[in-house]
Amino acid sequence: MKVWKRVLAVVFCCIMISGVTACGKTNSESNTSSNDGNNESSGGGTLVVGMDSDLQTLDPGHGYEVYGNMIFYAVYDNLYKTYGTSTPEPSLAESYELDDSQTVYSFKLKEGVKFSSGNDLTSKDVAFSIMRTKNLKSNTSHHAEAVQSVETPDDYTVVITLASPDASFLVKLSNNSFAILDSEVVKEHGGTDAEDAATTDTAQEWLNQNSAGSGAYVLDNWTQNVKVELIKNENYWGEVKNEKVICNEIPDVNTQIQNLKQGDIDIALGVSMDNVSQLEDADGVELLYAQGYTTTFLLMNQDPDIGGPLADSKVQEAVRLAINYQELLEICGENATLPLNIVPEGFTGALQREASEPDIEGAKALLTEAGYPDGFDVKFTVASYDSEGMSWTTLGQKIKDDLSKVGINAEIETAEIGVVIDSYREGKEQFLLMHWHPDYMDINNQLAFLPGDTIGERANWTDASNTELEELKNTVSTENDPDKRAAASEELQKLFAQDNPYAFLVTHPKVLAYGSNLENVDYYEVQKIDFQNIVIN
Amino acid sequence: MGNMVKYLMRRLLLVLFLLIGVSLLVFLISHLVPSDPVAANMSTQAMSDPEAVEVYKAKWGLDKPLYQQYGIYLKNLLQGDLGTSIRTGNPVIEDLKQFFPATLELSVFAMIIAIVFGILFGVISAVHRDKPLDYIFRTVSIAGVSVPNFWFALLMLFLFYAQWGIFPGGGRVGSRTATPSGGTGLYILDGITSGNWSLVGEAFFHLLLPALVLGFFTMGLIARQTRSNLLEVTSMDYIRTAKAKGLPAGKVISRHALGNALIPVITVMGMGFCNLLGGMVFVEKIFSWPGIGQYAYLSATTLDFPAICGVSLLIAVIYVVINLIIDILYGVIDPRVRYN
Amino acid sequence: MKQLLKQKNVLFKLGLIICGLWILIAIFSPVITPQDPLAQNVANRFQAPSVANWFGTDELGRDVFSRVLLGSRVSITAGLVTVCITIFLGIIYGGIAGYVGGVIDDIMMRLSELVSSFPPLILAMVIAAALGPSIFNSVFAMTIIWWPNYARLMRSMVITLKENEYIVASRTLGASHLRILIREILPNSIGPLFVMATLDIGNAILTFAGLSFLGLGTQPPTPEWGSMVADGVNNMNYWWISTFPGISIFLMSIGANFIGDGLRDYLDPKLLKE
Repeated sequence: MKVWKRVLAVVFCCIMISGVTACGKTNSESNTSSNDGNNESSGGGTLVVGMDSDLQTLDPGHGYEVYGNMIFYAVYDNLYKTYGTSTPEPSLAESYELDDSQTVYSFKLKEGVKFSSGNDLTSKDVAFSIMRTKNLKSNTSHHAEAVQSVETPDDYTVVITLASPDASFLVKLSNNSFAILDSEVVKEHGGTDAEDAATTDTAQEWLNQNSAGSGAYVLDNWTQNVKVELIKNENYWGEVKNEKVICNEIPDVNTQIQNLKQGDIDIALGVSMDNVSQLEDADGVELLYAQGYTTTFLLMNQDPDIGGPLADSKVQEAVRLAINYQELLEICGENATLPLNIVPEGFTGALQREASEPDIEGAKALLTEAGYPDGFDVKFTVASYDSEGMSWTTLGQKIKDDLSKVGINAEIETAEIGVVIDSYREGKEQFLLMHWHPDYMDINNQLAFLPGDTIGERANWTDASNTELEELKNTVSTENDPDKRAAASEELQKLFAQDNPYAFLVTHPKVLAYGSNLENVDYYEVQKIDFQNIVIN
Repeated sequence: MGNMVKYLMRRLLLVLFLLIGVSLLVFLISHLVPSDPVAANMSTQAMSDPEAVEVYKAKWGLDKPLYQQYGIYLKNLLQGDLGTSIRTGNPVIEDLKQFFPATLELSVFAMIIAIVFGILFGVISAVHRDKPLDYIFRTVSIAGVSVPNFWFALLMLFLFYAQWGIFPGGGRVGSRTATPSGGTGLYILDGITSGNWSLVGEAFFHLLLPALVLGFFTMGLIARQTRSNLLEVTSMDYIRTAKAKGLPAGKVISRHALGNALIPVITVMGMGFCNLLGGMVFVEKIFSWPGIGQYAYLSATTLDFPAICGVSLLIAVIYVVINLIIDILYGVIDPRVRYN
Repeated sequence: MKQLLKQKNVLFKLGLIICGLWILIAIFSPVITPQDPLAQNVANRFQAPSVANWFGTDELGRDVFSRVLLGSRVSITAGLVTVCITIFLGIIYGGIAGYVGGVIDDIMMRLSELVSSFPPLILAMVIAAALGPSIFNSVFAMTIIWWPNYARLMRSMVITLKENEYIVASRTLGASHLRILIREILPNSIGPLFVMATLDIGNAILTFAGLSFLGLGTQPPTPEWGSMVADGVNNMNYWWISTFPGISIFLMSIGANFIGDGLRDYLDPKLLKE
């Protein structure tokens, strides 16, 4: 009998607890639910975002993570910013002049802009910020490498001299390496732009918890792996349509999706083509399919010792013929595109590929010519990674299936992305699925695929003897006339297509899921979300 | 009493041995598994600066023979220096300090749930042996140890949050609440000590579901162990004597049987706690819980050796301490152990 | 054995049936799968369970039912192999430690405690990440984690048994240590070890599934229950992709546990009577 009494007691307690919990939930959650009409009592106009970020620092001179610019754009201003297209829009620079040598840029700054501290933003702050980034020798400093000097003839003019012409410079300015910091405040906290900044600058720790910018928001708090909290900048020169932004770290996408459906978050950043199906019919949720700019490709090593059969250009062409591009499009869904090769749709002169059926006969013929009439076995490295919207494991299995139809037996070997990246950077991968994410919205980024350049070296493609290719590369990177540049770009792609150790797959769209009570939501490649324009109803 | 002291001394000596052993193991792993310890312990960016590499080598004595390196490693360890995480860029000790409280809170709650319900189910099962109630509870307990916890976590979140809206959907506090700062990082404790009752409530509600999911497996273990031990004990002579004397069943169980039956259960609790740390990885990921489990997973998969070693050391220390506590409890409860 | 089967224990019999079925499926799966588990059909992705595909199709249009059947091979084999190896290692290690006793026993036991103090999942993750994900490496990682449990159990039984009168008698009569170990001690200790093993099979399958879920076990496109659950996790509204493999893991695990429980119930009273 005593046992029964005990059982009853425990059950009773459980009911009590769940009852209290349910009440408690209704009480505490109702005050903060975003779907209520008027939110004054709880910090109304708070935008809540769910993400799974890799944020390591909020110091713009050090930041090099994918989600970094989302915060940097909200808190700092640049001379130029990009939104949606690869055409940069003036932010703090009202106008610019370029001299005949194409290396000296003179910018006129917007007047009357104040930092969140109340200090005026003048040219000295621009000079300080750029030189600091360059001298910090951090992960992001290479963007500022080409800057030779920054002069400040007066408070609202900045003159930047480059080492050589760079057609993408204005776009580069939109990257966080060129974010403009409040020089006085940063110096107070140990910041410096001197040549030895790499060892003497100590401002990073302070900048991780505080912002010294002129942007729409001020950094209120950052708890790594938990939350980023931003509040509206009262001194901002433009318009901010909400009060506060909270970015929650929610590592599991399913949890993000459920949080969004329940209204606990307003925007879910982690949704991708793989799981968007869960939200397609959900009430109160909108989906945005934005064009992506991340190039997903196959890398085949040119070094015969590493690449084996894949070092042969005939085999490389055979691989390209074997891929079923039509089905790749189907897997990646609406707004996916097939780039011809290195230039994604939306960048200068981009060319597209036909969504064709694979040419099995042609591929087999090429393989026979190359000496592999029965095909061959090859190790295929596929990192278990979700490239911001597309699972590599899914793509990898599809490619394997396509290749098996022409006799190439690709054995998939998964690995952790960190391990793969190291090996890839050392040029040791035989056959690899990889992506290239642009740091800024310009075709110059993509030239890394060329022989002797960043990605080319990783494929051991070092033969820079093709002078035509080199010339075109030069034109594209320095030609400031947009039409000439586009023409050169197209020629480059066609020439490139004839012989290269890659197979360019599909550019998948990015998906943004958000509550229907929001307005003005859009997705941008660099900053992901532009917080200040979003209206919460 | 003298025996007790001797017993304690022996146990403490053992703990010391184990701690040194674990640090040695961790040291060996970080030096022998990767081919180049410098590459494994420094980020690519830091490695490109030859000065920084020299500084690093000098600090950890990488040019010296292995045993001297271990000595330096121990010395740094005792000063609280566990190296710098390649992935986060923070000193490992800071990372651990940040992530540990979340896991601690969660595991304590999970253990409470596991112990309370485990013992309860085990007792009921034993008392009603081979009757329907027994079968039901045994199935529940066995289900507890059979279900894949990553799937179970997803299922629970889906049912209790998305479908029925009973519990919140992850995170230690609400999605619109600012992160509480200061204090120990144990939100319930901090809330109580600062009188912030809404924090206590919020943290508690957010704890319940993940603790339930995490504790489910251990609950199964404890229930089964309690049941089998109770059955064993109740068939013993002194129990039969008590029954023969006319003592009602309930009293027999609670006064005579349960105490003795619980002794081995204490071991299982220890095992169970350590098991918790295994399920932690999945539960933390799914419930957006910024704890050691997530940290361990991210460190292990990025081969961030300083962090891996730091986390392993921390968890091993916890294991050792828990085992020590259990052994002491044993020594107190069961005199036979002390004289062994 | 007959006595075992005559037990009124319903759960035990249920466990036998479940596990027996799965083992048969695992053995015959290549023959009995209605469709090719590896055949992709992009046009047919994410189909709900239907007459054509009993368990529906996955993200590449493959038949989930066939994949679950084939997946049983990897999952069950990995679990069984792990447990077998750990029992073997445990018997040897624990047997030696318990039988020899003294300082050697102390040292050996301290070492095994050391190994078990190391957080298992982290060790598994590091091994898998460093050596590369594969079935072999995952099994390797799991055996390293588990052998101490069996060693300890074996040792404690050896210690108890070696004081037994008939063992002492055998020694007096001149029987060699090895003969005693194999003839007398082993048969008597195998019972509880076997119980622990059956209880652990479920655990082994779960851990292996967990490692695959984290991407550290089987390589795609080989079907395996854990990685199938991982694949389906992203598309929870296509619930069949995760649920059927998840239920399979659960069934196999619970079946093994029922067997283990039944065995223990059967063996315990026997031990008590001695």
